[in-house]
Amino acid sequence: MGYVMLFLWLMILPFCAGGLFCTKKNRISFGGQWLWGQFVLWAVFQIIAVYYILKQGSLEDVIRAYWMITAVIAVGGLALALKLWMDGYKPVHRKTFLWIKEHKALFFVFVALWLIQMLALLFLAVNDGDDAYYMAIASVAESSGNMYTANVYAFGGTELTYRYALAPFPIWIAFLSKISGVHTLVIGHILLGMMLVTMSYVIYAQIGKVLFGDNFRKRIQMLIWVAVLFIWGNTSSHTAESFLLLRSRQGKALVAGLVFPAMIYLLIKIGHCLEQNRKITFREFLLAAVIILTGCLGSTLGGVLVILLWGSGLLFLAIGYKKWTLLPLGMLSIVPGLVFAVIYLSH
Amino acid sequence: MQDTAFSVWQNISGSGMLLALYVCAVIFLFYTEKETYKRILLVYLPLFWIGVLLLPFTYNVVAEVMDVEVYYRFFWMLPVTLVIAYTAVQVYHMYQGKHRALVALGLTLVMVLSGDFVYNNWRYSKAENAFHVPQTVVELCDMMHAKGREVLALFPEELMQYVRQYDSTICLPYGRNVLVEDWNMNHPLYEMMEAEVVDCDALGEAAVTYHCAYVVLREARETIGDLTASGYVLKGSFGGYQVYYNDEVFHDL
Repeated sequence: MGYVMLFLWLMILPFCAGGLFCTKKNRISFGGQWLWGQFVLWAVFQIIAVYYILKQGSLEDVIRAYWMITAVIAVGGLALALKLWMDGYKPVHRKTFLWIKEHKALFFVFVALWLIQMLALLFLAVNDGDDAYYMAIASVAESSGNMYTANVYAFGGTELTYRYALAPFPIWIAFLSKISGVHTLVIGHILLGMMLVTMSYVIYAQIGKVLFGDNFRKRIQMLIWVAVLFIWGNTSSHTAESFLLLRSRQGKALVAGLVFPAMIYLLIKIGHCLEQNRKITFREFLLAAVIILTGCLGSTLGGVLVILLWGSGLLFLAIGYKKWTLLPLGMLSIVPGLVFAVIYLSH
Repeated sequence: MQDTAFSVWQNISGSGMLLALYVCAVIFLFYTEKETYKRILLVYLPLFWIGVLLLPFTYNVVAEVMDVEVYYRFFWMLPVTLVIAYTAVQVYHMYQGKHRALVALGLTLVMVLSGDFVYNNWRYSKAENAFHVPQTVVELCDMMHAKGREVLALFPEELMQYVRQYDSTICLPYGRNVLVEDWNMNHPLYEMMEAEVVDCDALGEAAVTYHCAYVVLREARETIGDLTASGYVLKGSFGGYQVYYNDEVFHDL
């Protein structure tokens, strides 16, 4: 039953929530719908969790609020996607299946490289000292409901450290453990790694779709080389690839492996729209806010850096295409993320 | 030697080969990429950030406002993987016929030889269980677990970091923070536990003072004195460790 709950929370509900980004003009794949849905749910979790952490509430408070809001978002997203489906706008997966059939060999090379990473996540343990903090935060929250006010290294209580409390990714792990009954370590060390690495590939697949359009051969080739660079990207323990594969349960890995590529994707997508003289919708700016909030969930500094990337990217595009109207909406989308930065700086 | 922005970037890059590959990819795109948005986002924006991040001024400003050890995270803004992979695809499609297979192989080899195989990393070991922590820790914690309450236990440093990850009801008098040199955290019990020759008489007395119901000692570590003098009894041996238990301390907490 525990794994069914995890499947519901990590696959089904994000997929439903991703319906919010489906429009007639923006037909996204199943993978894209799942991916952006999960980003929405992370953004919502960030707001709810930080609210209760600062109020010194418990994990149960977070779970109650998150359940309700997720249900509303998932139902809303599903309704939107179903309405489009009934109007005759099908997701783009059918074309993808045909392409896979046409480029079987390349596709299997990619799957083999992905599988190596999944098996490594399953059978190899990683010794990382920072887990003593991050995973213990999750473990304490799951067992006692206490969020950031217990001394996780030793014994007793401690004052709230804002730097950590404003980036409650470990609390999300605790939440998954609590609702499923699956141990925080199993979620953190195995399942989360599998999910985040897979999501990272989905982001690169989305980027490939914008960069190469219908040229599936190029798209899958790019994914293969991305996988090669992931596996051979361990030039130091500080590269984004090392973080993603070695420390996926730490919020820093979420920022390095998912949030920055997601923001690059969004900028590329906006740039592509500008190139083709297509209208940029409100949804793009909503997605920016969602990605920034997810960055805040992973790390306080990550939130600030992703704002810098978004702001600078948008400014460069505005200058390049003389499209100054991008800037006010872009500024608006950083406001939710800025709130967390202001809270951090004021303490 | 004091770090600089450039040395941080060098440290991330390892041998520097992958970094060189990235720079080559950016230069290639600078000369070949026609679409404006791709030039902006894959060439100009990264070049801008490389320039900004390598400025000593930027490094000094960051050092003023936060722990500069995290400066490496600023370089995550550069889409290194994307630019190299995208460029590889573009280079591959510049060729036709049988040359393509050689180009693909060559490009892959360059990437492999420039990088470092992640699974050679010393942090990896074969998982002993589904929790990915040493099995000894699982057995010790399961043995110590007391339903509905916390227990204080003294562990050797190599096991310490896993204990509260696996079972948060098992508390420690000190944690992994004593192992990080920069944090300058000391604890008298830690000095006693990690001494070359463990003085069990002194350790036992101190462990009682700190309310440790359990003391885990390495079997291989040389000892003098006896923990039983402080009320501890040998509960058993697990994977090279001896576990001592003090019932009085357990009930006093």
